[in-house]
Amino acid sequence: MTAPLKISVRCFARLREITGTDQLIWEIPSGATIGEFRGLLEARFPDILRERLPVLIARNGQYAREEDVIESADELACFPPVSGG
Amino acid sequence: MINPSEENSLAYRQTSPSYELALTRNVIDYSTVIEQVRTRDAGAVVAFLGTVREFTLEKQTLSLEYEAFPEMALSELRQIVESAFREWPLKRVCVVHRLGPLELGDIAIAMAVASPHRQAAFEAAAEMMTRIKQSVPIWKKEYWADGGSDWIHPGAG
Repeated sequence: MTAPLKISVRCFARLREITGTDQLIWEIPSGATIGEFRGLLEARFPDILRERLPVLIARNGQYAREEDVIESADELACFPPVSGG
Repeated sequence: MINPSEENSLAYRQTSPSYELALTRNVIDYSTVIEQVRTRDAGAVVAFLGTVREFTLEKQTLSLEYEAFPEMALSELRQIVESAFREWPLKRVCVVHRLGPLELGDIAIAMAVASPHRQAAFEAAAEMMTRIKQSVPIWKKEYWADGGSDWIHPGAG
């Protein structure tokens, strides 16, 4: 296991309210996937599961897949299902 | 240029020779959106305005607010519009989405689509609106007449 990764996570809409910030700086284990990050997010902010809020995760401005491995310069974003238009 | 007076306040805009996309906190001037796509080689222009509705079933809306992940919203919009250009014989497209607080009746989104014949413009406008509602990271928060408020999450729960 190498050093943990420090990543930036932007939060929008209800996720911004639950986390209390529009940007988290977070150390996650090196080699973590998007799916593993989702687990960390739900553990740190229990309101996500309590409200049964689906969370979408983007990596560098594109929707991410659960198996994508997070890299050091990645910018993640988490948000609920969209409702524009 | 959708509205030259906004040049400094409107940070999120993308233009190409065939489309113009923007996110704005200002009132949308829909006649300019339509003029943006009118061209001599298009015999059809279809315009769609999404406006703030007062009643959702029996719940009464007082006002609402749109929030965006603006960089990604513009990128998703661009992918939707570029895909439509590959699927239909379109000439020009303009899409503007409003952000921030809106009142009843305000325009939340304006879309104009120009094509040589009407069928392509009707179909592309309808399909692009469906895709925008599925993937563009913009969220609506409704402020209800009963004093409550809710983020709207279609398909959730």
